[in-house]
Amino acid sequence: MAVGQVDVLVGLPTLNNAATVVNIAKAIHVSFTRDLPRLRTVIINSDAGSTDGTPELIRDASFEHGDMVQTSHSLRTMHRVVTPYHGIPGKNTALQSLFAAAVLTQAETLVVIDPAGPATTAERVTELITPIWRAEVEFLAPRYRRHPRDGALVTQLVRPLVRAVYGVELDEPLGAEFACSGRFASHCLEQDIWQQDAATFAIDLWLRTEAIAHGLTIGQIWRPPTASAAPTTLRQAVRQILLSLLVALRAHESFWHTASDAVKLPTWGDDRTKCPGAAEWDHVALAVQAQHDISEIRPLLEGVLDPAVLSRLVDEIGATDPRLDDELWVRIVYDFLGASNRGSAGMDHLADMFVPIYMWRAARFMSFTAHEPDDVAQTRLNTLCDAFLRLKPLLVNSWTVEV
Amino acid sequence: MRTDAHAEPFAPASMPMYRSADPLWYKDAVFYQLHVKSFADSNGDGIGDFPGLTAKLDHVSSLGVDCLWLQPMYPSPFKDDGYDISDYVNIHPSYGTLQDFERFLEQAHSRGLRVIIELVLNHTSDQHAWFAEARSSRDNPRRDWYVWSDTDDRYRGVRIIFIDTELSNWAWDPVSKSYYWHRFFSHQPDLNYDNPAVRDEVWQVMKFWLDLGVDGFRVDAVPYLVEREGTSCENLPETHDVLKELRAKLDAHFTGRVLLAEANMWPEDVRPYFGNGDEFHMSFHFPIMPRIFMALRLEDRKPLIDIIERTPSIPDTCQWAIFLRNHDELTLEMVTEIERQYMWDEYAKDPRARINLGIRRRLATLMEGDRRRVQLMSGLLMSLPGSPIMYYGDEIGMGDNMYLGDRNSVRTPMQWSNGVNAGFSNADPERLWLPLVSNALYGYQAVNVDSQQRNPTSLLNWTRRLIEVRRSTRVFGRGSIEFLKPANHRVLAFTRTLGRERALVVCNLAGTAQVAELDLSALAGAIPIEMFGGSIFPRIGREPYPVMIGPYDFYWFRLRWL
Amino acid sequence: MIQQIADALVQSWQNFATAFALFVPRLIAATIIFGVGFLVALIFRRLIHQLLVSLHFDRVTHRIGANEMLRNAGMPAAELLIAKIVFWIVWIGFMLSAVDTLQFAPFQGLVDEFFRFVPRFLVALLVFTLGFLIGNFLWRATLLAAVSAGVPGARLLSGSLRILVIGIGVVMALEQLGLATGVVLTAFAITFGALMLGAAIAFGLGGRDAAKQLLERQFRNSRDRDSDAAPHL
Repeated sequence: MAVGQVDVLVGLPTLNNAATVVNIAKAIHVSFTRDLPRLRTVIINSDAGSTDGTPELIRDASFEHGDMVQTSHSLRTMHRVVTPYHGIPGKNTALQSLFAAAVLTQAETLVVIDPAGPATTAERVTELITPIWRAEVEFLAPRYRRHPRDGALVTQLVRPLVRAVYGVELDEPLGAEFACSGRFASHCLEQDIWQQDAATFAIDLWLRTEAIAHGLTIGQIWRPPTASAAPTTLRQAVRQILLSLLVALRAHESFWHTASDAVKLPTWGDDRTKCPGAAEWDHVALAVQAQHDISEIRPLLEGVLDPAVLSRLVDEIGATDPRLDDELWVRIVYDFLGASNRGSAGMDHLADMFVPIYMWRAARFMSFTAHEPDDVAQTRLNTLCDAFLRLKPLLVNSWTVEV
Repeated sequence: MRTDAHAEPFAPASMPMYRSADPLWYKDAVFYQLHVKSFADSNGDGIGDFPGLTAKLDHVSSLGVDCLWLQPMYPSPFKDDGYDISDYVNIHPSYGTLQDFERFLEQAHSRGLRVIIELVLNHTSDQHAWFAEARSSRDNPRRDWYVWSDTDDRYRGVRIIFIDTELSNWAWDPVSKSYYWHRFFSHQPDLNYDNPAVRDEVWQVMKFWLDLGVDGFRVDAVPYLVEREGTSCENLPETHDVLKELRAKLDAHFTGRVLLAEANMWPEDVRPYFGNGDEFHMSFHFPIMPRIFMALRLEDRKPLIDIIERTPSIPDTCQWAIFLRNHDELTLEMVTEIERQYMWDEYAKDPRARINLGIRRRLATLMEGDRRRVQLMSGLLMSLPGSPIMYYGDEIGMGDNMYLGDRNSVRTPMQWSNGVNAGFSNADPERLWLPLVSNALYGYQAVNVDSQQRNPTSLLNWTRRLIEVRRSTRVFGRGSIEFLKPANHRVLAFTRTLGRERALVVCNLAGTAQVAELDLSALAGAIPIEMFGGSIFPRIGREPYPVMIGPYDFYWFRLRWL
Repeated sequence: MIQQIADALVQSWQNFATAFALFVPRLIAATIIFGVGFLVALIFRRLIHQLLVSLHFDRVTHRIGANEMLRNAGMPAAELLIAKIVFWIVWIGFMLSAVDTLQFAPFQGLVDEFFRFVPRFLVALLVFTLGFLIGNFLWRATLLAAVSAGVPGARLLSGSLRILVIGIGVVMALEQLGLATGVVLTAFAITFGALMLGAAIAFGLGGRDAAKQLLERQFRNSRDRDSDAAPHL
């Protein structure tokens, strides 16, 4: 590549982001010229086949004049590479291209920016680059201010599970943006994940857990809240997340079996952004739907859940005085994960089975905390994390038990 | 395939045994800057002089240069290395007599070498007779030859140039009990160019030297001649009027003489000093210089291309003067703060190397003794648009001495041999006006003309060859420049065009081997002939032309259609 | 006369002795074959069992639900069951070979018959197993898909499908064994046809309005069921 060796590679994976991408590209440009003028940099756009002219907008965008001030005059040639990638469109293919580019350019720092995300100012770009460039940390994951009742998939499942299993207090195990060292990019490129079908949606989580399992120094950075990615149904999202978790756990089995405690991670940036309000959704209807679906698939659950756990679940669903039983939820999750490893059912079937279970839990949590103060709801989330950690031995056992 | 009608041979320029009669000789010339006191001492007083210089003219001539530029050789108290002049129409006794100068001039001309000397227009030494008279009394006829004020309130806000040593542009004269204006050191009072008598006298000074035979002047500190309240006191229209007046007189009385302006400004701000071809013949292009260094360190051609593309066109009779180093610090005035900090961090890690807004080191030390980089820089100097000025000692890779004060670090005696005092002087070493560079790497024992003369592959001989090749075509001095911008930013490639003459220059700014594909489709059909060795490269076609080039290497190609 | 009687007795005794003398080696051979066959069958059983255990065959059978079914039927675990089947096949083969050695006329050709039967038996076993596998897979998949889509009676639907597929597998296996194929096929066709006809009449004629409402509700439910994931992420 004519770009040669670079210090910082900013990757911009896109698919029909014409509305936001020019601002993002400009922010990156200003970050390079104003905040990091001495560094050898390149922006690489990996496009999945946009039909709205996204790559052309990036390639043709001009930032040298207009509202650029003299101090933003760049010291070095600014490289901007726009390349469509081949293969099945998906985040994993885009990331693989970017990782390959990082290896080819021997980039010290790789930053992947969400084209619809919060990196709309140079400061927001620079703050992702700097901790990695200064070798203060090798993997940087964003964290967001969340309302305790927001993002149940993350707060009820992904976050506490990753914390307990991997032993680090990673707030947001999912998310399109991240920054990492070139060394990590090179390592990732050698792994088998790219050939797996699940990589299409599991790659975010896998990257973070791979960084943890590989022993990288991990950090977090406060970012303003951003609109979620491409719209998807709850069912799809739950399936994908469970499959992502399974992929990650299988890949890092030898690591998390022995990981313990939950190490706090250093955090950059400021957290003065106002906590957004919780989105409202009909948790009553979801609870009804979940109850019905769980009853229907109960024969299947018998092959997955421990009989005692199943029995408790059935009791809870039909209870007139429902409780928010953290331990039950944790045991269910761990049973599902263990069942996947034992081959009790195919991963896809397990994921489908899990959907109504999650719905039940999410609805139950929302219902319980509907009239509680936010700090009480937050405490419940912390307690849930503790429960996942405390019951981790169950996961270890169910993962390895013979039939 | 082009027809024979296009296959005109280049007319190689001759070796410098005669001075070209072309009034635009300066557009093809290679200049060599030296300080008499640092070049060669003939009388053993430790200070270089004109007889010594005369004796070394064969060396200068052997380089193939066309014109010498001498640092100030006038009588002076030497508080600013001779730029504080106390007598404009004489020679400092340390350098010899006026007759010694005339003899030197004659010898130089006989070798085909032209000579331009300094003309410090803006100010004199406070030891000059004019100032002595002016300060003696407010009624003295020469009182108005300088700029006086009862208070230091006038011309508020005007920047101070020597920020390391001066606190104000006004100095208190205890003799006449008033303030006098000085843009440089306080011992260099500014002349008052609003006074016609001053202008007349300056012309008389110029005429004196022109009558002796000097070929022109390097005019120091031109932007500051005239002051006006409420302005920056720089580049005022009245200043241009003064300069045009002097130029008109020069043209009326002499031919083939050149005025070279020292105006350390952005090229678009220097442009007015060319006028419509009726002001300066030449002017230094200061901003290019740090950017050559920057481009090399960044391994990125961008800074260089940016500044050249930003340079406005100048009248056909005018010429830019480009240089790598000179007697002053490597000035970083014409760069942004980010660029300045970068240059300091990369080229002047030792704070001792920094002075004012610049770096007081020589080319060889800035290149860390890397001959490849020295050669690349020299190659760039000789191929970029403008007339190149080489600083004495750079042809052998002389080092510097940062432990000497002010800018003396780059003014140490010329190293002629590895013998006593490097062959510069017979005086006791302690008597030398500046000590020799004597460390193991750059000291005169290792770096000197004699030993390099004997070595066919020395930097000295390489530099001679470089200048010889440059002189073989006029395209470098007079041609236009068009940048090719291959995707690989480490490769600087451009063409120079003068009529049917075409040269292609490709430089690798990186310390690693590089490859670049050049879009030469507009030159399809041409055969590149490498100018140093005559090797024939593949014919240019419509497809991108790949060029592979070693670390810090460069190619000059003559393009021919055969 | 006495001499003739004596000769007849001697002759008879000689015939008996000759026949006995001819039979005993065969008996001994048959006994050896019987014993060796038992040992070989035991070895095979052990080998097959070890092989299946080392290949974690229990995970496969657990996954397809076979373990559960066997446990419910009071049968041993799948790998042991298979090992036992192999044992019996091998030993029966040796037994028949031993019987053949005795050269009892009524039993001549039994070995050939047996070895012609064994492949059909194995194929039938395979067909039944496949039917069972597919049935269970379809049961799971249909149940989950129906639940996801909000189809009412998901359990009935998926269970029926399972029984149907397994039933087809059983019929195909019996056909392979050649056991009363005509009767089995006819009975299956009648049953299957009647069920489908009855369902069509019930659904199409008698439940027209219900079917309409069901479909409308289904489409509405589909939209309502597919909640947006955004508040959950």
